[in-house]
Amino acid sequence: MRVAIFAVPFALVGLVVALMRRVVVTVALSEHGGVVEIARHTRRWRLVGLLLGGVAAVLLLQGGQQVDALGRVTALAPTALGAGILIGTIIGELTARPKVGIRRSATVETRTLRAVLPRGRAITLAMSSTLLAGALAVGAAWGSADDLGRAGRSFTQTCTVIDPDLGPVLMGSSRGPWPGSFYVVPITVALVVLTGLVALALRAIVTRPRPGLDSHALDTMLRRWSVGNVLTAATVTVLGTLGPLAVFMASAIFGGSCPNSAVETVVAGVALVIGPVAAGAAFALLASLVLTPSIRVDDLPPSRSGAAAALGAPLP
Amino acid sequence: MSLSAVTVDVLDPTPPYEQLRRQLADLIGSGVLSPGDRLPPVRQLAVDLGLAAGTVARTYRELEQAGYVRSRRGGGTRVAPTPPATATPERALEEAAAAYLARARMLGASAEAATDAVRRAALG
Repeated sequence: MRVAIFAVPFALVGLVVALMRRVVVTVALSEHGGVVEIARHTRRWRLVGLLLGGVAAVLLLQGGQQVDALGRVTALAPTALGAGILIGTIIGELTARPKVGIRRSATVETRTLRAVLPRGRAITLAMSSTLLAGALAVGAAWGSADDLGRAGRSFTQTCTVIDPDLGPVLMGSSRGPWPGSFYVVPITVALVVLTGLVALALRAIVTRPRPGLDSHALDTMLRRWSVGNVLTAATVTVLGTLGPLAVFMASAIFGGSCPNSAVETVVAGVALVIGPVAAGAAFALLASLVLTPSIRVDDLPPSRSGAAAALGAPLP
Repeated sequence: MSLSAVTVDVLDPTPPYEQLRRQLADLIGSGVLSPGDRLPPVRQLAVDLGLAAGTVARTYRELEQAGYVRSRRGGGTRVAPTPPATATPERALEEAAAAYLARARMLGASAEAATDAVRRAALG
């Protein structure tokens, strides 16, 4: 419930931004039939994947505690969501087959991922992944066993304090949950699987057959949109994992009775900022995946302000 | 950048691999595809044309044997540094026109009817 209260404003912002920046390409009824059909087919499958991934993520959030009360299953909810979208994308791209006729044409070109890679989204994903890798590395390096001996579940500090009566006293302070190896290992395994799904989805998009020579530019645009959606889904997973992880990290470092070192203070400060921002951005990006660019089919060209009506005598 | 294209007619009595071979040889021989240019991967071209991968692989093999292309493991298939210059673009066009007229004759159409059909197709 608390997650939902946090998510709604960010999701609304994401929806509004996506709505304002949404790209809709209008084509005539008789044009680009093959690309339009592929766009509808892949979009349908991506939304099915988004729905199934969302259901899986909610189930993990709600029921994960019953399977593992320490939250290792719950921590995989963002990965389940991303995996759902990616699997939907892969199925959609692999089953999209343009109709072939008696005369079949193909361009003499080598399709590459680089040609259809949206650089902005790729950079966003790379930066998010770097931050998550850094957080996982720090978590694994600074983790220690908790009071029941579970390795990498606690953040422990020791310090010497001067007691007025006893003099110097060695104190220990241990807080958790800490994103150490206890959580890092299952999260890393899930992210490796997700990376494989991203690679498969990108490959499926690039190798999908072209529907026809006339639709070359539109088909290339559709591939770029699809690659962008795959990168966004991966970014949602990365940020959705990073957000809670950073918040737990900051609260564990700041909540102890020993003074923090300069490095610990910097890490906790950065994590405290990154945590909510990453989680909020994940919800905003997730909402934007519902309003992805699309192709609209229309008989008439879109009317422009000041232009004469489409009906009637043609203008000289 | 203008894109070159190849077309396969499955009703044409010429086998698809030979139709492909001829068109690619024309594109290379006439200089439309330059030395070092990369040809599409076998699977990609096969999927785009709705053909079996083996058909396209046979085309590439024959082009390699004739010295038009070079294949390298992991490096794809590229136009050879000095491919045989078989035709100019004009000559390739004339050969394509002759092949079209021959097919029109087989269908019982006159040269005028075939020319009219080309004109109608060009005008859309």
